[in-house]
Amino acid sequence: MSIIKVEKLTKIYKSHISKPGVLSTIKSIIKPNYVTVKALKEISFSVTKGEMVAYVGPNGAGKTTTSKILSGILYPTSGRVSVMGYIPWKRENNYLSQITFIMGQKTQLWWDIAPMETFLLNKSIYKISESDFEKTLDELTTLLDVKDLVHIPVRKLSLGERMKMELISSLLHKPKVLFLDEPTIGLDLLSQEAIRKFILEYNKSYNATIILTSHYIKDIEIADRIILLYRGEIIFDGNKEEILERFIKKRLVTVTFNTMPEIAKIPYNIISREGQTIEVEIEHKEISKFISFVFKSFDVKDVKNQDMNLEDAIKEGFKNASLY
Amino acid sequence: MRPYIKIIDNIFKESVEYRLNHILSFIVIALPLIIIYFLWNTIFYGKNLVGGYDKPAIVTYYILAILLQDFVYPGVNYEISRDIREGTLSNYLIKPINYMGVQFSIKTGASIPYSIVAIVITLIFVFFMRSTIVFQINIFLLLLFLLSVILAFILAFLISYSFSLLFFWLERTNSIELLLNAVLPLSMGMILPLSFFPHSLEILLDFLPFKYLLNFPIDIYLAHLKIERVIQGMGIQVIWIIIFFILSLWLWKKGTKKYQAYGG
Ligand SMILES: Nc1ncnc2c1ncn2[C@@H]1O[C@H](COP(=O)(O)OP(=O)(O)OP(=O)(O)O)[C@@H](O)[C@H]1O
Ligand SMILES: [Mg+2]
Repeated sequence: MSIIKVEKLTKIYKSHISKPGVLSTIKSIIKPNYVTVKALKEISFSVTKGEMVAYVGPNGAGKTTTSKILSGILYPTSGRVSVMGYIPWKRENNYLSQITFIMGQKTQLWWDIAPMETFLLNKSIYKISESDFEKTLDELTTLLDVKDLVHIPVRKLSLGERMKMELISSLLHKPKVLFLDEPTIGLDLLSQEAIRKFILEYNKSYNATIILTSHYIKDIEIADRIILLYRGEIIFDGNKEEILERFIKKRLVTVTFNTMPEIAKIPYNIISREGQTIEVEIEHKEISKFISFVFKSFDVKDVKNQDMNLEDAIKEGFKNASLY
Repeated sequence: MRPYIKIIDNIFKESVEYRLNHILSFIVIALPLIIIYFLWNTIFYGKNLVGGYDKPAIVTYYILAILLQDFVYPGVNYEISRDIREGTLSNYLIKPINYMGVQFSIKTGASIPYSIVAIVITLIFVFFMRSTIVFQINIFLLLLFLLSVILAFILAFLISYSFSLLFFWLERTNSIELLLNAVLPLSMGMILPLSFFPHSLEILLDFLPFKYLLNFPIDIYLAHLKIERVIQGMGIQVIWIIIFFILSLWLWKKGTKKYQAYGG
């Protein structure tokens, strides 16, 4: 059952352009000058309950725009969206109580007072019971290892510590659908890992649906599914295996023989040869055929598939898209 | 109600972090009081009545005007304009909470430390100037005064809130703001009691909301108004509150459609 349904979603931003000078200012009052940016062009996808989707794309692709529309902050220009049966931009309280939207580049915490005060405010906004609050808070602060910091004014926390508080404050009400927009941006490697683990853990234990945007490959790797967005269009939607297959056309296979055969008997593109070992570049779909061929024909000691690299696949995908 | 009370609490806690500001605001309030006192002392030299006010009444008028101005001045709410322009409004939009309620709580919360300072100053002032101040001991009048101040506070909030929502459409509001800041102090009675103005202008101001923010409550305190006029005035306060309430709901509905959620 799909919990998020997006159909032909389009968002066009209109912005004024203001030129310097009195005359053009007066002109722009009478006849405003607009430029339009097509941030999303009829994108469609759906997400099933409990799925973790990595929403990936180059800067300006429209990822944040999508999250803002899905969380009800922005009105779309056209298209249909339904999340848990609600239309996000109607902003019904029942809907808002079940979602959260975390932006790594912005804080939702009260800057000059302790994170605890924001937690307590959210407790009252989401009508969380005392016992639930205590329990969840304890759980989250333990998982993220920030128990001792909840009473220190937010402005005195480090970026990583603040981000953890951000997560806690946004998850106290145990949302069912999470929009996470670059939650690990600017964090050190250990903090990134802590947050990544935490997100995964949350996804599993609450069966929460998560749309995770990030430019870090390790974040992308934890997702069940990857959607690639390029200039407002979805260029790929599928799991890790599929993305590799789709965008990495050729792979290197290393074969080590017990007795070296004649090279001419191997009708494939041999890149290098060293003693009993050769490296072969091969089309993705031919790999299994190739492997059975060498095993059948020769005395083979070992065959190694080069690891396929997700990052390369994604880059390749963007490069392909830029050609059109 | 709970979330809104918690916001008031948070704002208060936040302001405690900046105690120095309150000492400064103390000076800001106290200074004009002293200047006004000496100024009117000079104006009244050898006279008993100026513009229908005697000396204790006029001194009391200004003391109240200065003490109340922070509560009832409907200037641009920079918190709101920042929320709209910098996109921090999104923080509220994604939560099941009412933004007007949030801003009202913030305004109320921010008024608490100011009220404490204001009360302290008044007490000091009253102690030194006993002889030159009007003491209102009529409890009924005091209650009416308090009620009209509360209505004025709500009205001022709604005017300022509606005005600040215009930032959904405008990049800058400098010019409107300038105009407002020129018109407001005069029409509210902050610079002069309105009875100093020509009669025709006074009548016009009777129908506009501004008088009911400051001049009207103070005149209740000074017992310058007959009871019918008090009731009529409060009726007008309520009508303006309803008008600006509806206006702000409409602006909010239209504005959030245009909201660009900048940043992130
Ligand atoms: N409020 C706005 N007004 C005008 N144009 C906008 C506005 N917000 C975003 N855009 C434009 O829309 C496009 C998509 O922006 P968006 O923020 O969704 O990108 P993104 O995929 O999140 O990028 P990034 O990885 O840099 O965060 C960009 O070209 C951006 O310039
Ligand atoms: Mg973004």
